[in-house]
Amino acid sequence: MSEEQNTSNIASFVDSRILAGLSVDRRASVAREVMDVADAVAQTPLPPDAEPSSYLRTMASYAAKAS
Amino acid sequence: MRTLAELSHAMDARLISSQEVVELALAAAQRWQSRINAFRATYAQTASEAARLRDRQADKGANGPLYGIPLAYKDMFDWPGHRSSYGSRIPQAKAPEVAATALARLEAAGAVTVGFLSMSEFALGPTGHNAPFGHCRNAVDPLRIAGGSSAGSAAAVSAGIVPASLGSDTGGSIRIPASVNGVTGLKPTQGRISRAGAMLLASSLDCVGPIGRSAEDCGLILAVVSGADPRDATALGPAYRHQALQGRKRLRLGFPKDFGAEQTDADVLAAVVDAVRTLEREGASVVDVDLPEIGLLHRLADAIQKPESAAVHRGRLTGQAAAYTPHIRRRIEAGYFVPAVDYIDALAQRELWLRRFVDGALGDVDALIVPTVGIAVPTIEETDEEARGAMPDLVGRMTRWTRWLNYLGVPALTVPCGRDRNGMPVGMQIVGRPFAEAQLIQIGMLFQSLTEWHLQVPDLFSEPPQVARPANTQDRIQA
Repeated sequence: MSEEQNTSNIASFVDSRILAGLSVDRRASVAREVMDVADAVAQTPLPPDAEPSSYLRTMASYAAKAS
Repeated sequence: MRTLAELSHAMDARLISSQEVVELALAAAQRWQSRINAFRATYAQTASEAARLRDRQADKGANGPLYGIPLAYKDMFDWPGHRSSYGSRIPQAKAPEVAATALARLEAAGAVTVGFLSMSEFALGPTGHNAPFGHCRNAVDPLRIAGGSSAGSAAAVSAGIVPASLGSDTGGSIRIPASVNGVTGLKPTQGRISRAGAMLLASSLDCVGPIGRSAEDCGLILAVVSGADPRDATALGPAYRHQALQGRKRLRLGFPKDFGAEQTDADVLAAVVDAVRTLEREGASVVDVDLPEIGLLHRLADAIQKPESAAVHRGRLTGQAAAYTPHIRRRIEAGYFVPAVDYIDALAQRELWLRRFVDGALGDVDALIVPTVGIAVPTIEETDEEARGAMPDLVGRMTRWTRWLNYLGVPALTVPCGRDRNGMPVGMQIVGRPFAEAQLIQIGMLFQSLTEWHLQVPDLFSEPPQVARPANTQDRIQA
């Protein structure tokens, strides 16, 4: 299967699962919201060892200090 | 009586029984319902029976700050025999057999559950609008919003129906309604209160918290519901211990240098500045601080909330999409489009931002003071997203001062601190380090010992004020 065909299949899959229920206007508005989020995430360079669980560990250390 | 603490003292002195206060609360709920639509369900018989039992136990020496006190909860907590509506047309599938941990702890402390309260559909929305059941209305002015999503939790306390309630806060849902109704609300540290048995919206951001007339009342509730819970691995100890107002130590309070980018109304800002000056006159020193870019943190919170909410609703949206109010459905669907890598990066950045905030803005102060809602309390009509077909700018501005704090996960107490240009309540947030609720509650109690903003609402169990209402609003109020 060509790359183009593969991309088209993926797009159809996404369309059928989710996008089909959205109006054209709504798709544009969703795209803007998501770009806004993506821009925000991209603004902060992450240290290489950053991971989601580091927040939970830090909160647990605050909890331990408060005990 | 005006506060839970006062009511508790009166009951302790046997000046009034649990049965009497529960009957008064149930009667007040009924009287106020056509005006503010705060309740989704009341349980008169079981509450009366529980109150009689409390009175018998009190005769044998049982007591405590919440013993025999009537409370009500946002309609999203498990309670045996009660199917939560979640403010939606898709209620809980079946009535649970086990109570949410927070409610079970309140019950064990002697509180009496009188009912469940209105909320925004699936806890989505900062205004209290609700298409399935009718909008909850502000107890101070029913033409204005009650705030959301814990609308009924704040309106019922403001109206004096119950002395305190529980709500939940994922982006401001305790603090916004508390602020606009002139009462006190606490978004605790992420993980301070168990969420077992509470409706899920966005697991990384959801908090359960109290709303009461005063900071002391919030502290009395927090002392019972906080602490680790085997049913919720994210609930972290220790339990909060409530203390009476301590000696007036010299406080250092941070206040933002610049409000320019945050679109705060001048009258709201003036009320918050006045409140800071009140504390300054009491010996607090006020330090200019630089805030992080809260607009950026707001969007990072979105990067987490949107996909988590979409995941929670995925099954229901597949089979029951038509049961959602269209703008609520649209809000959830946006989460399908946030790439997983952005979601994970937003989570991974959280610790970095938390440390920057604690070491930066909070580095040299005991707490930070900021507004709760940056705009004057709007009317229900001007913020009606469904009727207008798009999110009005005012709605977007309502969470400007709250949502970024959910991203950081720090505690924030909102206390009433003045009135806006329309005579509606203004709230300020007292923000602290993780697990510093004791400090925030002390500052709130100090402020409320110097002011009476929190008491400028009806006495407990009072009659609703008689205010003429335009005829065209009558048909939108549910009995």
